[in-house]
Amino acid sequence: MKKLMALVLAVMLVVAVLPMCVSARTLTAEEKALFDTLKEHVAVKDGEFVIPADVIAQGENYVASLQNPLTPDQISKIKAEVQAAQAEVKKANTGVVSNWSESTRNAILNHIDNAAEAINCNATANAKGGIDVKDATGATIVTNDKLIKTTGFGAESVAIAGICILSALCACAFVSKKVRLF
Amino acid sequence: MMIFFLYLVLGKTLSPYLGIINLLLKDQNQTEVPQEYENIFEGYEKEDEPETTAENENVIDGNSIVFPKRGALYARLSLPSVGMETDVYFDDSDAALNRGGVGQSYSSKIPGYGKPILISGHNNGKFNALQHLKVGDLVVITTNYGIFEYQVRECVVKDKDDPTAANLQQEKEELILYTCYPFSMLGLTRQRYFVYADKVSGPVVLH
Repeated sequence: MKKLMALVLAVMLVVAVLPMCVSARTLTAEEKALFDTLKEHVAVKDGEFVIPADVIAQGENYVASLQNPLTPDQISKIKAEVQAAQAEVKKANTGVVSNWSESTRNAILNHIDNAAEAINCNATANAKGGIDVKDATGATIVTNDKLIKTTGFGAESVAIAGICILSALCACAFVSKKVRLF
Repeated sequence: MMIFFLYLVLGKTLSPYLGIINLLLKDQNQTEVPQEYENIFEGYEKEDEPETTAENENVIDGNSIVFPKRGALYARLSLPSVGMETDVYFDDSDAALNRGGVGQSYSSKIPGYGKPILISGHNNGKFNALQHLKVGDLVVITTNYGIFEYQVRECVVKDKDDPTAANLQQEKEELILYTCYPFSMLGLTRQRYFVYADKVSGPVVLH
């Protein structure tokens, strides 16, 4: 699943245009058609494999923020690489990412990276078992991640809490007369 | 047995510290956002209203909107009933949330596009105010292209892995706000406090 997500991310990344200027446009019909390709189901023996919608949404948002639409050549190359990656999934005949062989994973990553190159970006495997797509500046454009994030205390609060805890421990030690300050 | 008994008794006291430990041990592989955050929010004035379509004055041409890049500050969110107002960033990574505002999931759409909007914030920050929201209260999001109002429909606590917590595929502009729960908990928690609100006013973006 994560590999497929990475696949989609890579394809979307490839579809994305390099310029980081904020654009003022909606997706073109060709771009929408390309994303429709990403939404296609891949039939495998254990059911169907489909790229998560939230991953596709990241790609759509990224493309929508680009200044210029994708060129026909870019769309053409991306589509070819996407279909090649989908063929790899079909050849593996399973939608369970953990069942993919090393060669299958490498082949899919390679197709994703080729697609990313069409827009001067690159795709690499991440620590979560998925794929990150990054632009020319190294910023992550699309990645697979949980939808509900961690929104606990920020770093500053942790530091303050740590200081309070240490202070409390010191006070306890002082009170217990284990530590003599004078 | 004594230790277990003490844990049950002192559990509530110890949990904040356990949360801190969890926070320190959590996966540090966070999504990188651009170092130079873009600020495209300029506020909304009636005279700056984007082009509307001929058929409906409340429908905006999507080509006249500057779509925010990932990490950009693009809107202001306010809770009039509790007196809270904050910046909204188009990213919900730790780096974005630690900028003092709230972060929108990059997997969700911005207001006006008829799709769910998922926004999170720290429970010790601006979104500590979520606990004071009641059903019927308004949540207002101001963008460069319009002012959007959402009415709170439900406030509920759910597990962080609950698959029903946020359905971003529905064809409905639902505003979903969430933060860690309990509000007094330090560090990581398993639960989230969700506020669901339905759109009651604001333009529609043609896209």
